[in-house]
Amino acid sequence: MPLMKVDAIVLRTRELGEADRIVTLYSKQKGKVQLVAKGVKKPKSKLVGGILNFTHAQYWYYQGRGLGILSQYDIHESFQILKSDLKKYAYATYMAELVQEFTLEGEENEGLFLTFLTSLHLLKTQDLDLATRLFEMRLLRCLGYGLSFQTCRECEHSFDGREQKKAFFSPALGGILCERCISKDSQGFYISWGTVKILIFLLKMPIEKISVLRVSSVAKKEMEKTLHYYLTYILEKKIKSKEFMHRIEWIDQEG
Amino acid sequence: MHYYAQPVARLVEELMKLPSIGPKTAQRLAFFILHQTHEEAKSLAEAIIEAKEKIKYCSICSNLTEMDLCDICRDQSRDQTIICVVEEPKDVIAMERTRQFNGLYHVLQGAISPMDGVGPEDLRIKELLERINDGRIEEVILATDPTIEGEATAMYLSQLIKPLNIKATRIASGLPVGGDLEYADEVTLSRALEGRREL
Repeated sequence: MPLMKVDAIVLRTRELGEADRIVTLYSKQKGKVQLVAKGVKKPKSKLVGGILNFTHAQYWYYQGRGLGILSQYDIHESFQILKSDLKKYAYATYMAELVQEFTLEGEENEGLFLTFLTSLHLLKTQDLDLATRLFEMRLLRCLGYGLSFQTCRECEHSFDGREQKKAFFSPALGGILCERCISKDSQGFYISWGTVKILIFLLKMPIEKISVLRVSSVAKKEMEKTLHYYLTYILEKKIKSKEFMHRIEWIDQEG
Repeated sequence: MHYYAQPVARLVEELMKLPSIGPKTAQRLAFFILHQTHEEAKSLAEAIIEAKEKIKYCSICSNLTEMDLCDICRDQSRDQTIICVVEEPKDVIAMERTRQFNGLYHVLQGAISPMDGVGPEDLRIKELLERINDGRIEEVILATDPTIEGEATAMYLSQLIKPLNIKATRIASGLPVGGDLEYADEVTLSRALEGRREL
C-alpha cells in the first residue's frame, strides 16, 4: 500500500466499530478524503489529537482499495479557540458542513481549501457573521456558483449606475432581477442595494480589510438570509448546523 | 441467502443487525447457537426479551433501570448535592468502577452534534435543569467525552448552569496513566499542561 501525504483540515469524524473513527478531511491536494483512524477511542492512541475537527495538519496515510488508513500527522494549527468557545465552534462547524456538503471525494479545489483555511483563521479574531458571509461568498465562487449582481439574471438588463433603493434577489437564478422580471421567481425577495454592495465587497476586498468593515445588524441579517436561501436552494437540503447556530444566539461572543 | 435453511437465514440476518457484526461473524454466532442445547438457546432468547421488556430509563437521571428509579437515585447514602453529567449509561458504569464518586448521575443520552442534526433539544437537558433547580444541588460535574461533541455539550451546559450560581466543573483531560510523555500528541500534552496541579 503506498504512503500518501496531504495538507488538510478535519471536517468531521464518525464512529466506526469499537475503537476506530472515520475522519473526513478536506485536503489541498486531493479535495475531500475519508480515512480510518484506528484505535483512536483508546486512551493511549497517538492519533487522537490530530483528528479533532478543524485541525489543520499534514496527514500521512496508506491508501489501499477501500478507505485509506491514517498513519501519522504533523499539526500546523489545532484551532483550539474554535473548540473552546461555543459560538466560534458553531460557526466553524457550519463552515465545515458547507465544505462537506458541497464537495465530492477526490475533487481537488485548492482555492476552496485556502478559502476555508483563511476563514477559520478569521473566526479566531474577527466578527463571526462577517467572516462567515465572506466564506460563503468565496466558497460559492470557488465552486462556480458565484452570485451575479451586475445585470438582471433573466433579461441581462444592466444595473450599472441605475441603482434603486432595493434589489429583488432570486435564489433560483443566483442573482438579482429587474422590476420587469421579478415574476420569474416567486421565492425571491427584496434586499437593499447597500447589502448588495457589501456582498460584492466581501468578494473583492483584501481579506485583512475585514477588521475595518462596519456593517449594521439589519444588513447582516439581509446578507445571512440572501446566502442562506441561495445555499439551501443549491444543496436542496437543510444545513443542519444552522439550527444550532440559531439556538445559541443568546450566548455572548466572549462566552 | 438461499444456501441456508430459512430459519438459519433469519437468525443470521437478525445477528447481522448488531453493531460490528458482519456476515461471517453472524454465521459463526448462528452456528454456535445451533450447537447449543435447547435450554441454553432458550435462555439467551429469554434474556434478550426480558431485558428489552423490563429495562427502562430512570425517571430522574435517565440511566437504565428495571424500576422507576435506578439503584443510584434510590440510594440515600449517596451525596445528594452533586451531579455527574455523562453521555451514555455505559459512562455511569465506567465512573462507578473508579469508586471515587459518591454523588448522583444524569445521563444525557447523547451529545450535541450540529452536523448530525443533534441539538440540545434532543438530549435530556431540560430534565437536568429541573433537577438543578430544586435547590439541593451544589455542584455539577460535566463528564461528557473529551471529543469535539462532548466538549461542545459541556460548554453549552456550563452556559446554562453558570447563571444559576451553581458550581459547574469539567473533568480533567491529558496524559493517560502509564503513558509516555514522548509519545503524547501536542493537543493532549497542552491539555495536560493547562490542567496541571500543585503538589
